[in-house]
Amino acid sequence: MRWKESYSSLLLVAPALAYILYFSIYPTLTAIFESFQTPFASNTLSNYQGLLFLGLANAIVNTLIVSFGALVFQFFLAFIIAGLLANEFRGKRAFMTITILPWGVATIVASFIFSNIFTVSDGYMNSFLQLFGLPSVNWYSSYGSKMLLLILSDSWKNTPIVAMILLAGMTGISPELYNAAAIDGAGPVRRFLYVTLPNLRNFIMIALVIRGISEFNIFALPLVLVGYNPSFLTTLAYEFYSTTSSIYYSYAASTILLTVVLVFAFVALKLRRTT
Amino acid sequence: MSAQTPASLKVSWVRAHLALILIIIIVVGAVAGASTYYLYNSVNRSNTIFFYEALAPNEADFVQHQLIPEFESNNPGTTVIFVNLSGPSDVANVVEALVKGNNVGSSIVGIDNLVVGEVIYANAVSDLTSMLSAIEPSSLIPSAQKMIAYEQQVYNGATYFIPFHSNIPLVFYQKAALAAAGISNPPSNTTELLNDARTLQTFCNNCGPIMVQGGGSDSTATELYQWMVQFGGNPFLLNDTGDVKTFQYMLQLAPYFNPGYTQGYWGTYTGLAQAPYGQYQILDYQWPYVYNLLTNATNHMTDTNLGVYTGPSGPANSNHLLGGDVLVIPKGATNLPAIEAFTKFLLSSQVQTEMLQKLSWVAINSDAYTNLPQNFTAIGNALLSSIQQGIFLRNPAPWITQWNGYADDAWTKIIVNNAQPSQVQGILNSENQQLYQFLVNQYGASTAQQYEQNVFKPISVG
Amino acid sequence: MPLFSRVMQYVLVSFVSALFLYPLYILFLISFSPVQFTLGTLRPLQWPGGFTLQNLVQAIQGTNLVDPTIRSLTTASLVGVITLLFGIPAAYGLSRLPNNVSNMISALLFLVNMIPALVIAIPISVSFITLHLYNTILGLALAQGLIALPFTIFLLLGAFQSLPKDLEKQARVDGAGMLRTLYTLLVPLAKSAVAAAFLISWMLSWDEFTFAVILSPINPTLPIIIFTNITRGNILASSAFALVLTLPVVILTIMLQRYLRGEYLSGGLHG
Repeated sequence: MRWKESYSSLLLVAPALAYILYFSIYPTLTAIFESFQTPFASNTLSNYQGLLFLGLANAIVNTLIVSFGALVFQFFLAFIIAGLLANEFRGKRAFMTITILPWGVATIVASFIFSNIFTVSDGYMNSFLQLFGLPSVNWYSSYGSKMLLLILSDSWKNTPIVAMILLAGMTGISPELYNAAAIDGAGPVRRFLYVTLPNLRNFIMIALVIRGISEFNIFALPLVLVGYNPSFLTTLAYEFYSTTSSIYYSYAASTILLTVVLVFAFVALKLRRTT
Repeated sequence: MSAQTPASLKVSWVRAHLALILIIIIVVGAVAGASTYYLYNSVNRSNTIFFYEALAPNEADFVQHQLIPEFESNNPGTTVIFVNLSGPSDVANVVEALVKGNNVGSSIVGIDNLVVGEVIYANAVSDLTSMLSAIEPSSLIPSAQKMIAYEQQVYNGATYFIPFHSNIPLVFYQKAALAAAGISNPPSNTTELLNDARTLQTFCNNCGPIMVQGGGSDSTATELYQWMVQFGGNPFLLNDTGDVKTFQYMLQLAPYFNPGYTQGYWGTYTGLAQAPYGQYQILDYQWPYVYNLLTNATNHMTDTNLGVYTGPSGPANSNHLLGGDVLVIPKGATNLPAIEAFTKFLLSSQVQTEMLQKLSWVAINSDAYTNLPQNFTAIGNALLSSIQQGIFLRNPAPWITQWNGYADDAWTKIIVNNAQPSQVQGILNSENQQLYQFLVNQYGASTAQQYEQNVFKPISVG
Repeated sequence: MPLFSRVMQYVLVSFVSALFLYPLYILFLISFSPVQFTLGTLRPLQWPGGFTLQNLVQAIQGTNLVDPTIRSLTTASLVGVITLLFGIPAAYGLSRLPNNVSNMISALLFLVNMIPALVIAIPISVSFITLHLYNTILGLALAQGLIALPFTIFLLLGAFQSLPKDLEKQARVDGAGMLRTLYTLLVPLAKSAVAAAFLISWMLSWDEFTFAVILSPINPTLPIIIFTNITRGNILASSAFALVLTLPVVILTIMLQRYLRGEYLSGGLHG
């Protein structure tokens, strides 16, 4: 009876699995395989070599910098939000709604809005600065400022998810642990470090993995805000997709992107297992 | 789950039902919308032509709201559906996808002559020779005639594209600003441009008086192509003497670039109109269509403060790049008579005149140049004198867009990253090497050798 | 709570709220404020300089709003249907499998969901051309379903698992087959979760960009039209489209916030 039940349950899961595996695994394998081909050579690294010259290394570095910068910023903000939401106060429901709003806004809309906030000479951020007598900034003048504006724009849209995951974890921490720590004389900071963080470990890891992987995929935002300069792994892959004669470069960039994601996931999940 | 009180039960009941109602509404709405939409389309599908092109907003507006209604009223029973794609590469991709998917239907495509080589190489467009007598206008401007003669020579008598409208980059400048800075005439050569840039920089308090399309992609590469020809180089090689001189000159000019130049592209022009003397004073180079936009109600520039001319001549020549779109018909297109009628319409003198005057598109039908209105003089003169000075076509190799990538890379490494003049030759050598390797791998060793032996040169068409 | 902490709390709440609402506020400013106060000046006003519908009117007249909206609407609804079609049986099956098997499958789903959309989109566009799915609603929906399905499965799995086990046992004892149990008993009981799953999938498709930009260039969806208008410098048209795109989403997010819980968002990683 048990085996039969398991078997029919598997049958229920099968269509979804087949659909996902076929449409995900097969194209991915195609991309990886084709990245080593060209019309005049098979099993060659020439696509990767060509891509290396055209900024593959920079794309990897840029992707990592923005991803980790955004993760730091998002976690910082998310801890504050989750900490606020863990208590009761008047207007909490409204606040909760407000903090989840950016999650639903499409990335392209967020990119559009931030392209009008951060501009070369005009824009809302500059007029805001000028309200305080500060000079306006050319947000696209340097590598650092471009990275910063990407991190800020991306974090607006993505902090809600991190906050929600951390909140789920925080509500699971028993208040007695906090009371015990308070009795022992721990102030809010030490309570955070020694009660909240350790108990949230699991949730933090999960949020890190999920958000981290999504961060490597950042695509519409840099495409709209900075174009192809500085390049990221996704915009690099898309840049060469647009030119039909070099789709192999596209495959190579995609394969590198996939590798970065897999390495990150592997490292993160390994870390989770050892703690 | 805690025990539910009656109140919360009621709330969640409402919520659950609300969600269900919403689903029903959405599904019904989508089905209704989709079915009316497809019904509407299938009714009109009998004599429908699809016209694909990638145009700026005001150009698309003109095509959609003036050209097409004009054609449809002259040809009752035929409908034209205009699909505005996002850029030249997009158009090339779409043509190839339609042909590969056997999904062409009744289509005609206006494609940038930058990428027409790609679709010809991909064997995605039909030979127009049999149609030529029906669609070719009686009088073509010389450059259009030479374009057709060139392709017939290269493709062994076949005619894969017919010129539609051409585009020549021009220089726009703030007349009032130049006059106030003490410059009586816009720079006539590159040395004068450098001097004027210095003068303007002091005048405008280090605002960065020169705007260039320095944002990368097709925009920057196209401008660089013309610059390199004017310095006497073959742009494709990237590292011959003329090419190196171009970049070294750019390094000298770069300190006077407007800070926004790294975002500059074919849509950058509004800064010129900003009162009183513009955000930048010289827009070097931009496509003529911006003339109609700079003089419209929003930007309201006039002939007193907006100047346009052919631009400074380079040390070797003052030839201009002939950009613009050509018409191709994807292989397997149906309902050829309707397509022929539409093509003939697009190339007719009346339409070409309208395009010339409303969009500053260089008409390929020479009849369009008779009886030009008074207020068209400024841009018209600039266009005509550019044509007189000499125009060339980019060699329609299928790998131009890859070359664009290497030209942009050189621009980034040299100009944006502020390289030393001594490094220029080395950087350009590596770009040449990389393009050569690319050609070996993607197009074969013989193509690569031809490339290195300077076979792919700009084509003089006037 | 001591006064200082309370004040700090409200200060932080106000600050974070302002931070989160500011960009949406800007969207409304650009759309409804006369252009000389927003885009036509070096120092845009931080408050409305006036109210005008002229921007929207001009934008709608200039570009075709109807086609992309219908395209987005149809694709999103199809994605919702597809995810429910595959997701309900899958979540039910997972809820009945022994823990180690279901955890393995959840992990597999999670793993596959990690593959970046762009890595899948580029090869898929090539094969869709020959499969006649390129630039079709069905093709795009099948691709976008890949993103929505895993989340749907985890959401429904959580919902099914929270239903009392006895109900199911009772139904089986009464002789109902598995599918019948599922559709006549469990789904109606979990209908708010099912509705939420549909709406969230709908929203994911409505907002989706990567697959749409590669698979649907000739008949674009709303996000793609916004993108092409931005690259063409058509800011007012972009803001009109962005408004149309965002309004349903804001309403849906507010309605669905209960389901956007950390437990569902973290997928099957709890095992």
